[in-house]
Amino acid sequence: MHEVSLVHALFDQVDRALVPHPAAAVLQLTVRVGTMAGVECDLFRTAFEVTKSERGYPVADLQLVTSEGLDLILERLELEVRDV
Amino acid sequence: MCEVCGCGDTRRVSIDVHASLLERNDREAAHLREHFVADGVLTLNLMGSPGSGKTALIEATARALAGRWRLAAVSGDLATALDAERLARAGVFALPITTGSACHLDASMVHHALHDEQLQREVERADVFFIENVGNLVCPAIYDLGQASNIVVLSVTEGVDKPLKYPLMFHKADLVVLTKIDLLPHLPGVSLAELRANLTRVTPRAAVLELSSTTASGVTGFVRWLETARGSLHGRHDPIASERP
Repeated sequence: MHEVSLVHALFDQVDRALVPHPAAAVLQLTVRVGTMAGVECDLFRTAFEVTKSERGYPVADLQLVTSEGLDLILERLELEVRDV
Repeated sequence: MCEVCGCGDTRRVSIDVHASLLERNDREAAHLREHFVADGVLTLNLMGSPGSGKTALIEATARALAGRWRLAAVSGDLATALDAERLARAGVFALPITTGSACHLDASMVHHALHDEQLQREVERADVFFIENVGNLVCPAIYDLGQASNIVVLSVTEGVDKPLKYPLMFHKADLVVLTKIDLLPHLPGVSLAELRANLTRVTPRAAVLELSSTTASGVTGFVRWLETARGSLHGRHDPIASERP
């Protein structure tokens, strides 16, 4: 099931995006999945749910948006940041 | 501001990322491709179901090109080095990539395999480097490995409907090789014309060849395709265009 590999790649991208926001909690990820991307959305969600805590994002919610083509894109993150 | 510990209030922030999940793999694949192009080696990503005849095709190619071309290969499997051992007996320098539970090869696995100094030397001297992917008609299609071309091996024993059931794999193909055609007399439900029509529906640009690795019928056509593809590395020829009707 390559969806597990892709979910790890997704969290790698999240790790990079959070470098300027080290104390933020990730509430939601929006991922665009193309219909020809070779990804089964249900399996991707399952892989996401079983992986998110070990990758440090226990409260993150996954929003999948489908499109035409081969897209596999992390579009947007919703964060909770604390003012200091 | 919190009066207990001095921490701030929370607020919700949205940030646009717009990054491909395959970005790291694609970067590593591009790095591999640079090396393959610099070495002048034709690198082919060989994909198909388990038992479709990927290893047998490389063996038949080695027999057909014996004494003319140097071949190197890596063979991806979840367990064992059986395919690499077969290829070594056929005169191909081959190493296994044992993936454990992974159902596909990615660029980092190929990169890691090439850290083997002997494989690296053999690939640099080879005319063709076959990356025999894990037997699977879904997952391997997603990952770029730095190859010059994707070849999908489909045996006629798998039936005529596979291109329609697994469109992504065939959509990514530069060449589809229909194998085991010596068995057609025993497969009354399999029509090559229907199989080719189904391929055209999902992969109109791919060349299609028919062969039997057992009898060597049609292997010459595959060797011609390899020669044309190898020529295109040096800007002489487009291997795909040359096979189009």
